[in-house]
Amino acid sequence: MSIAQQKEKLFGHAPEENFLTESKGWKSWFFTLDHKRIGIMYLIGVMAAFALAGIFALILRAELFTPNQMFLSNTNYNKMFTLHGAIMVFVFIIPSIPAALGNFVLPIMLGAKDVAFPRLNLASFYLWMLGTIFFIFAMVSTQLDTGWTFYTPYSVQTSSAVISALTGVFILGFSSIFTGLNFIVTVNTMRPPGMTWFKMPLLLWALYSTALIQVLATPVLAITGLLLLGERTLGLGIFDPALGGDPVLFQHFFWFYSHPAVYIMILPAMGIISELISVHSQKKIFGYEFIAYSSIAIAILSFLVWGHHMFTSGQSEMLILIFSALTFSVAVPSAVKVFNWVATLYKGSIVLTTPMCYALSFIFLFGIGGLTGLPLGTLSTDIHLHDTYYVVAHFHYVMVGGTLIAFLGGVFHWWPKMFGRMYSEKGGQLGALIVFIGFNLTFFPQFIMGSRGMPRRYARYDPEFQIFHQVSTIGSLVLGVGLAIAAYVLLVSLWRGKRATGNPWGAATLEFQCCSPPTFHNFEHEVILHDPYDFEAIEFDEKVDGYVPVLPEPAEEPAPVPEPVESN
Amino acid sequence: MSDNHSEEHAYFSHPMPVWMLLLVFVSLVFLTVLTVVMSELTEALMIGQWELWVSMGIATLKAMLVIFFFMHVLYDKPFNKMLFFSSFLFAALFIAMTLLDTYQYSDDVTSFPTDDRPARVVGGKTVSEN
Amino acid sequence: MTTAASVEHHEEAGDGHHDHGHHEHHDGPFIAHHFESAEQQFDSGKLGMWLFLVQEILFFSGLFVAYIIYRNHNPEIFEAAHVHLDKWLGGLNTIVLLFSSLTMAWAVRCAQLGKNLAAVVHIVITMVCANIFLGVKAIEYTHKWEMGLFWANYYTYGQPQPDHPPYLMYISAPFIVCTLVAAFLATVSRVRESDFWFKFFLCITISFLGYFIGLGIAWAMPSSGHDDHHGGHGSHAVHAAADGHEEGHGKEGHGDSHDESHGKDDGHGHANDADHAEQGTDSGAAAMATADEPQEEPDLGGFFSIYYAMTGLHAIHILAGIVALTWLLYRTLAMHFRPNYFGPVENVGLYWHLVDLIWIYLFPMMYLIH
Repeated sequence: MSIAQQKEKLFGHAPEENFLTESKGWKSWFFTLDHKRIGIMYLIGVMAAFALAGIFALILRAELFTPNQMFLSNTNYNKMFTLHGAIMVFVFIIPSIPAALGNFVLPIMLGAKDVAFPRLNLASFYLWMLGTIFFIFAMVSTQLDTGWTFYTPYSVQTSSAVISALTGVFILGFSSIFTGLNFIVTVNTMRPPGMTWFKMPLLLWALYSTALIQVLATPVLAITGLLLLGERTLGLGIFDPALGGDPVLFQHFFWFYSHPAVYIMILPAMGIISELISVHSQKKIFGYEFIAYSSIAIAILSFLVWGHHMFTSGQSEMLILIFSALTFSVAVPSAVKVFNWVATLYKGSIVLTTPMCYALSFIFLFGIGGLTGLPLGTLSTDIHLHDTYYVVAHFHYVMVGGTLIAFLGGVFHWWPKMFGRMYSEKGGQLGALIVFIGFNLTFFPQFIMGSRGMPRRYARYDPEFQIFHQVSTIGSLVLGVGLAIAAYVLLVSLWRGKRATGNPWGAATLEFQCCSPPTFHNFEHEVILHDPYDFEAIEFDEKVDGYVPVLPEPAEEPAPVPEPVESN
Repeated sequence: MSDNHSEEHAYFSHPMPVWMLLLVFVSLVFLTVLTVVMSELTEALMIGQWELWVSMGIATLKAMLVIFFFMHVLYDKPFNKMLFFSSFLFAALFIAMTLLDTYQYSDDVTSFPTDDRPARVVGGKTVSEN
Repeated sequence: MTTAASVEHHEEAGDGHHDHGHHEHHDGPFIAHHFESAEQQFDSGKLGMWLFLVQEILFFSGLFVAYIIYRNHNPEIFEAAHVHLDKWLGGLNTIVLLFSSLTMAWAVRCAQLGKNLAAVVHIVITMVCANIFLGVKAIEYTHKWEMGLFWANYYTYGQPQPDHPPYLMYISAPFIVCTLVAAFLATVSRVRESDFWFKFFLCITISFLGYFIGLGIAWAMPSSGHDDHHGGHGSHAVHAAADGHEEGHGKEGHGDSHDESHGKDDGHGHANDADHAEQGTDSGAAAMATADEPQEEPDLGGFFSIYYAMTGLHAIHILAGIVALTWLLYRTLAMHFRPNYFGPVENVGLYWHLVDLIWIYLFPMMYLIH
């Protein structure tokens, strides 16, 4: 077989049978152990959760269009923002990138057949479903009005469905732990010979760091939830001051998890951006090792700064000082990443594909989100800004402008790989542009009104803030339209899209060496291992109409000896 | 490839000799008895305030025996060792930082009227002792 | 420079992609299709278990934080409370757990050597010990409940105890049912001459009998001396409560519904600090003059909240361990383990040792330290 034929066979259009079609019927999905199918189910699930919580956000913004009550009573407003926050955080953002995209790409990027524990992976998905059902139950019963943070003593006193929601959080926590556990083991033991730590794509480093946080921090959320459940059902009195408990202790418990949790949200997003920037500018990533190590550094530092959420909660002055000082340290590895991305772009052959548009928005928005975090870590300014819209804007810039945008970029990047269809590039770009504009319209005014003293979580406000709220509400509609366009573009591609080749972007990572969509076993040929950002090793092939690896001439060299796998 | 597999039994299983298991168990029982006896004799032994540290020290010794021998950590891969012990590090971080905080504000808690420093009632108002 | 590495063993066309579970592999029947070798599977399983244990340690660390902080805020409560715990029963349970750890480690050794039947014996002993532990714990718990030594909200120690429900019966009922069901199934298997299931259910019946052994031992332990002493102490407190003493006041309010008491009482007093700070700023205020008797026993509800949270979660872990051991029992009886496949025994063993490890710390923290 000639090389050209070989290439066409291996890297051309998908074979008739792929992981989507290899077995049929709902059972083949509901009981699947294939990481790709589980990833797709997660993707559908988290998208649905995002849509739901997004609708809540739109309702909130609509209510805030005028200073006085329009259609939500104060209580309903509280419930609405709580459900928005809790569902977004626990049901959508935390599982979004690791569980949906990560599940799909991690084993393939690694060159493995599956994750280490496929059954645990499926169990994790069902735990996610179960936790979500508890949330939905809370939603349709008496809702939840504690804010997503469940602060005591209010969470002990309120009559809303705290028990159901907490059970949901507890279960979702274990779903997250199992995903993380699975990823760590997979990366440690399932790397094929030759795939050394420093040949792993940066997304894997990011997912690995995320998984470390998931395993180390989430159990504390579990025990917090359990103790709070005990508080509500039995009256344990560990957090409830009426029974001798310490409500500040609850905040320590909660933030020991929930601060690292924001890195569970942002770290994998950073990993995706590292991939997108490098692939879509066809340039070797700048400072690979720095980006890799900064992921680990962020994971570790994330455990040292939780107290900065408690500057005004009665935490002691000494701890406030310590946590404030430590908070700034997180800025260093984050900045390392941003600088490296920008340096990668420099003199790269930037193609403004849809994923690249999202990646560029990410750098811009994450830059703003990250830098506005510094005044919040600074003691004197935080006292003023605490619990204002400034904080709301800051974390939305990081969580939406960061994680969600990267998630969308990732979805657009791997969509051809997942479903074997190319979407309309124009539509995708339009969506990205409108999302970018809408996002800034929504959240930038919130910085201004926040720094002028508009407190968060209030249903009514002074008329002086009305103009900002109105811009924000209009922005949220634009953002909604942008997201709808993005969803439309993706869905239409499933029916109308051109068939994707194995490697439509010219990426050098392993998942673009298998066909699109991959077959059940991921690779139908021997994987060719090289540096994940070595674009010299990839060439465009006219016949295949896509990129293919540069294959060595058959007679040229003997079969190279695979490097031994490191024992761990 | 299949040749390697017949040899790898010896490589990845590491049965503990029975005498070692029994020895560890006997030491564990000894330490348990020691710590109970010690707590009975706290006054006689004059260890008073050190009791906490001595008891926790003995518990840690027992824990180490279980970890290193029963859990085979002594013969485990370096990565697994590191992982397991680092979890204690994170737990310690959690405990230390939180404790540091509550120490700082515990004055506010204890200066609040409590059972050992009961409030006196003066003119219908509750006044704490200090 | 490119390196070609074989990642994929091409499976034969007829191999059936749908059966992900147990492919016939050159390494034996239990190597899942996505692993290259028995060792890779073992390493993965073990690393996964270690990560799970890491998770467990951080899970329990929250309770340790609560313990240490509560202890630091209220040292006097801990001094007063530990006399309610029977250190002999606790010590006995410690030894039972240590022994179960020994047999568990021994079972691992047997599995590593491929001696499945010897492993069965050790696993059954481990399960018996786990049940003895629970039996002793059941006596300890119910004894406290009968005296009103509950967690903060229901703490009624020192008050006259009305007729209490048969707590011990409630706790024992599931064990009685399990024992009877297992014995019944063993009999049925015997009649049907199903040797495997007979052995399996017989082992389970035996292990559940451990619970009743535990009950018996705890019943027979000479621990009443402590209780008499505190019974006396309690009656003192009863007297105090009758005086409109703070102890009675605070607890009655909370016992009913603490939300109401929030409304009634001075909300700020509650919202700030410890429960024994309930000085009765309202109704009981006049009676406060008698409050500073030195031998007065403080309200120990906070201690018992932490005690029940920690030992209760630990007991739940023991129960989970029993479930895992039952699974192992099945697999050892089915002779699944061999020198290159013993991961499940090893991993359940690790879990079991961790449960033991936590108890090693709980015992001195709760029962011993003055």
